[in-house]
Amino acid sequence: MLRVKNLSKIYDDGTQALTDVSFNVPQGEFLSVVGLSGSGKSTLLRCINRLIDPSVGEIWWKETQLSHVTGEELRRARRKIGMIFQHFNLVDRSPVITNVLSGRLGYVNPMASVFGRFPASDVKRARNNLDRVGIGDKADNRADELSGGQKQRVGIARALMQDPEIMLADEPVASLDPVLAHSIMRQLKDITKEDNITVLCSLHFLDLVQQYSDRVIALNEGKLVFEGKPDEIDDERFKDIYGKEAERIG
Amino acid sequence: MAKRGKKEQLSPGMSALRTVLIAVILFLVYAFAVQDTQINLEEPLDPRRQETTIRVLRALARPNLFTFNEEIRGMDINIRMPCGDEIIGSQVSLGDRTTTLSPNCVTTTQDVLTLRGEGFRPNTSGIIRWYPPGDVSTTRALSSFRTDGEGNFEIEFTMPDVRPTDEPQRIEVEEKWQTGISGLSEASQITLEKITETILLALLATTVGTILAIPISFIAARNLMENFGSPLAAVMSAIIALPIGYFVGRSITNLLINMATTELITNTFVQLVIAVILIIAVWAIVQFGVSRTADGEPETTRDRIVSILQFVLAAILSIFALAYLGQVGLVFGGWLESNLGFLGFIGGFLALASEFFLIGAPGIIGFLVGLVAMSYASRFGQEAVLGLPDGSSRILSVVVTGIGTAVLVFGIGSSLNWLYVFDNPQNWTIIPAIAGGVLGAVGTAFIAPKRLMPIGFITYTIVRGILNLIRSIEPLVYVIAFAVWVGIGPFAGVMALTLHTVAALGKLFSEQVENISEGPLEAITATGANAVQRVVFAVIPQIVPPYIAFTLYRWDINVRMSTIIGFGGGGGIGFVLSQAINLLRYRDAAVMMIAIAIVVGTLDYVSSRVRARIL
Repeated sequence: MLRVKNLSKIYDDGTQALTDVSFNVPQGEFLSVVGLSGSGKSTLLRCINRLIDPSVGEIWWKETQLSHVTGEELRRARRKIGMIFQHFNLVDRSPVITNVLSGRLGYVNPMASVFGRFPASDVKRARNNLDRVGIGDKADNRADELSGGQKQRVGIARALMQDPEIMLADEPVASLDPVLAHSIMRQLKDITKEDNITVLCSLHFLDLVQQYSDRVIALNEGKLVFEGKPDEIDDERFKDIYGKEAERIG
Repeated sequence: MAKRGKKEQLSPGMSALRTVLIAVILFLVYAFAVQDTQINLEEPLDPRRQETTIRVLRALARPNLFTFNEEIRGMDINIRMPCGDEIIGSQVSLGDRTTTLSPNCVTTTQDVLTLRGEGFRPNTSGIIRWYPPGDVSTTRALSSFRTDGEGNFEIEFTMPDVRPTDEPQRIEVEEKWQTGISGLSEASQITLEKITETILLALLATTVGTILAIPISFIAARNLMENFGSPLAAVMSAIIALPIGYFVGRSITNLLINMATTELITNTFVQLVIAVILIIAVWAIVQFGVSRTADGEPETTRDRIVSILQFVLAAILSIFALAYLGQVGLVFGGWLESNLGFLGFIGGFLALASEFFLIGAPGIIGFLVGLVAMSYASRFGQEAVLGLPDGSSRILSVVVTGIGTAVLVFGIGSSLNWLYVFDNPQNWTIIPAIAGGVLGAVGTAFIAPKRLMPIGFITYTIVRGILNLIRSIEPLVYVIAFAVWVGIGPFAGVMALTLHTVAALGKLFSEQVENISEGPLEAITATGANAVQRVVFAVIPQIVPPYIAFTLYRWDINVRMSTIIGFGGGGGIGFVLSQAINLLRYRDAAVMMIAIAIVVGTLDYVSSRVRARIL
């Protein structure tokens, strides 16, 4: 169970990105986070793996207080939290296999990894994970030779290398065309269900939300404005989330 | 925005007035600049100066590149001293050549002689010389001539000395012309030798400078550093640990090297065998001994202690092995140097590297141990402060900060004392250290002990400041200081250029690190990678192309700088160029300038091609 309690984030420039957000995510659930651009979705996800430090509030995963760990403990907590990104965030000049293996960095001997040496078992796992996302043949290509969909699959494979208990997906399909978007979302959903990984996925399109998520929360200007089943978002709720002027398109 | 709004409200009159005012100020600045830089017309228009300048330019235009085969042809004509009663001229013919001297005698050194030649080689220079009677070996130059297009000339001259004899005396008319290139001039040979030295000087400075600049550039990159925060107690623990680690590391290394160098074994072969055995032992310890955990779960305390002990043992054995290898290298290098002929420099390098290791190892290893101690102390300090309850962590923080501040103040005071040699050193070292320690401790009592200090940002600022300071002084200035230390010559040049390269590349490199795309860094951070792994996996792949490009660019700069660094005593082509200029040998200087132009041009072309290919 992931528990977020009274979470607020105020950036150094005074921007209030999150205000008193509280919600729980049971283990294995696929939770979508919706809201307009700038509503705090990315900040929320990054608070969970501490790419951003929350200002107020607590985040708990099982017995670990994610919001307050530091140093070694933080590293150990992070390696159980996979993350995929809208812009994939691969290291373009490195081969695909290196990108995938970098998911193991939290586990392996730091000295050996710095010299590019990974245990044979990890290399095998990396190839398995690439097979699992369907691009096993691309292992030795440079990452910048791949198409957008393939890059996101590498991103998923990299996150899977972490043996994640939580998967954070920050608009994972926003840079992809609708067909690819569905394919990637299907893959993400299937794999995380298989491995019983808890997912927090920020999304733009409501049809994706309704098709793939178990539950959904909505943010508006940093405040939690909705929490419930995807099909509970009717027109009225939609306007609460996206504002009075918004029209449903998807 | 508010300011800009105000400016736009200026009335047209005010606006015009402002423009005029700016124009007047600019005029005054430039007028003063012209006066201050002593720009004038008298000096450049002075005929004497113009003549000298033209001479220099003409010399520069005829670089002294080659030596030539010369053909010499002479003929003699007689002269009488003093004149007899009858004064006549005399004429001599030899083949096509006819020489007429009138008169054919002198009585005083004021008597003017006229020499005419016909049928000589056209457009050829020559000299007239006199064989004074009595001196067999010496001649006196009287005058020189140049024939016209028909091979005729006419000159007037006087005798420098008059030595009366009964016999006629001999004057020789000698033509001299070049028939072809016989080889490189001495200036060209020196230039070749020195331009090679210059290129290698720049190469060494660039290589060493780049290697040192790479780690510094990471510390000087804001995006990598500004997120590092650490409680005050952790920072102070690190400050205390650095000197302790340094002295411990240095002393132990010293001891080990002394043991290895002064013990009974002096036979080179035995030393080599020992070194090899030690290296195998170290490899065995690293390969088989160190307990690893495959899944990365926390090791047991016992495992951790065993692994640390193994590491220490491996380190000690490595130092031993290197000390023996160093001695072997010293002997072997010396042997190679004297037996390898023109490849002897390989032995020389080996011997020098061995010597450098034996002398430098204690300091370098001490520094590394200091850094490791810093990192451990900082980590333990952080864990202790964050783990303890508030009250205890405050006490710990106060104590550690007190000691840390004292150490810091003592260090700064000692450096100042070393530099200025104060009368009462304790007023600058111990007393301020104690005072600072107490002040620091008291001050810390009012600070929340768990608050993170922006130590990364502070380090970044300090390193950047030092880099900018070093960079702002030209290598030409450094070379003067280094020439005092290591003597005039290319070694001083290498050191001066290296220092400047580290600072300049450190800054350029760190800006490249700041320009990387943050995405991959974020992704690698999210996997739980530590700071070093983040740099290796997310930063380095992104900065390799610009680093190579900048290194090439820097080599280019260094070659150019090393051509002038000789003016300050830094060896290379600049040194001989400055000599040639000071000795007014402009034709030699021209050769060197041509060489510099060729080298810089070629390098510029090559590096731009390589850069274009990489980027």
